[in-house]
Amino acid sequence: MNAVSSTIKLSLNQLTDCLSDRVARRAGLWTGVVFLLLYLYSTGNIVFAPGVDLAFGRPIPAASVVSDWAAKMWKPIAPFVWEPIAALYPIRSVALFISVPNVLLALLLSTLIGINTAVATARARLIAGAQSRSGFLSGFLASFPALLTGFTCCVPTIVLALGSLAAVFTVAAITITPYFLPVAAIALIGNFIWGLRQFSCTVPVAPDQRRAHTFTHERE
Amino acid sequence: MVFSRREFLTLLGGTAMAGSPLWKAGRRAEGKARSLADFTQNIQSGGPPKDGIPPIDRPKYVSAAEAEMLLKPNDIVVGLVYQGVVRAYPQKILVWHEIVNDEFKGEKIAITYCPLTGSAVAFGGRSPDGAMLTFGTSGKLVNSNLLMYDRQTDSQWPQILGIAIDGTNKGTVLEEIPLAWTHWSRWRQRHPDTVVLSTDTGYIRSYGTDPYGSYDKPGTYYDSGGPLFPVMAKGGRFNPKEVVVGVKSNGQHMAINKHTLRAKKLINTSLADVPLAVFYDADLDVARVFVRQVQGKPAKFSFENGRIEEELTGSLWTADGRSIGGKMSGSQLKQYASFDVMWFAWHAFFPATQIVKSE
Repeated sequence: MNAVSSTIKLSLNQLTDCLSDRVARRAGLWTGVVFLLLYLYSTGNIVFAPGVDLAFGRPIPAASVVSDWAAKMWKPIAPFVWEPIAALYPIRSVALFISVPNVLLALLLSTLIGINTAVATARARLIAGAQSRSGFLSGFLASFPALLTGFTCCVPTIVLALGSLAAVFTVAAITITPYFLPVAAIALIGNFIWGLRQFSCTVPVAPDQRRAHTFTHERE
Repeated sequence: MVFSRREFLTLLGGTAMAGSPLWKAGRRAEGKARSLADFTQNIQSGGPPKDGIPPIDRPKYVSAAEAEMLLKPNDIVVGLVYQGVVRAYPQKILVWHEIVNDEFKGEKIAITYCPLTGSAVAFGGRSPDGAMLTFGTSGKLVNSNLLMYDRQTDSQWPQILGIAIDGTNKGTVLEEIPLAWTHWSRWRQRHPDTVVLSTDTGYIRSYGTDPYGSYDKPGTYYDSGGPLFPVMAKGGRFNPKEVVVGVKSNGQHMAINKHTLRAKKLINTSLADVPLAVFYDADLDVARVFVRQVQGKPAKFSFENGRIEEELTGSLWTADGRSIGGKMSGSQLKQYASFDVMWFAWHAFFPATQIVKSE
């Protein structure tokens, strides 16, 4: 138990060190925000339909809440996608559907992705070469499956995006789609822990990888 | 109601028994007969959980004038006239719910739509023994077609088949009710008094968008490519997404190419020894199938100069089967339920289907 808590403490300290780099912090923040938006778009909770009045003539901005929202809040409509209970229409062609579990999950995933990106960026700024690029790439790849979890109506979004190339592919996609999100979450957490174990943002791993200058002067 | 329930079930195949072949090869037939077990073995997950695509259980309606906010003239609606009540169900709402458990003057009716097979079918909400049925979406498919379940017994019903393939109701045939798959402008012109299913469904969906594409624009799922899911039989006479009018009678099945019907306007044919006439209602762009019988004898209809005439009696008829002139004036032909469907799906369910040719 002590070993676990000391590992967590060490990881958090190392994370704090990495996040002290303003550039890395910003990279993580923006990556997380972009992922959040993409993820909610893939689950159908952000709708963008140019030329379509999604509010059907109501004065804009408009909002609505379903009457029995408490009963519907945790109702799944697809693997890892839940029923929206409220909607906002900021402009006619954009709608934001609020599903509490979807938002919580999106925040969790985007935080993990943001942290991974920040750590990878901090590493990249301290050490040069292939190692830094592979760190960033693994962070990106870990986040990718989560974007494929969206369901549109009654088939996975990925199936509709690829079209009816092969019906057998649809069956395979439906079989594996429920695993995308847990795989993404595990990969992100694994990548994060692995990254911090491999490298400290305060002490470069080898003297020959030390850069001519460090980012300490860019700290806030 | 055009048919009594008993008449309908007799005509539709009340002989259907679990485990026995449901239909025989008819004239110009192709493929081989199937049993209910064949369908249960071909159930596939569509992805969502049970009722993940939520049926509408408390439908609300708006007037035709209010519906103009929602509908463009070319938007597809499913129109239903039953017990004197006229209602339209926009496809852009149905695509997100697939089932509306509705009521017409106390009679339960389920309006169902499967976007993957382009089929809209209305079912009477009672089993032949009189038990009330309401339906949900199972989240599963057979031949890429919506697999419904009834909430009373959990039996599963492929929409195009209209027969329970398992559970307590296994082998039971649902009553099909004629409906119209048409454009909003056409429906409104024919039925100015119609009411329209409201977007106030109890759920939040982007009703202005269609995840599968558009019936207006070519090149989307609705008119291009093949099925998204595996089907039990492929190929056949037409392109997979060609729209045919599907008709069932006494365990036999018939497909009428919609283009052929538009060109011919009227087809005299027969199915399972029942003489049928298929009228093209140009105002709504729909097919109407009637028992081709006048004064107890097989009749023969012709279409000339924009008029439908019955040759034996010299009587004139409208496209909705009502006589408006001659000896039969005022009488009404018995209507068969039929529905538009993508060819690949009809053929996958009924590989022994007749493909109609006019006599």
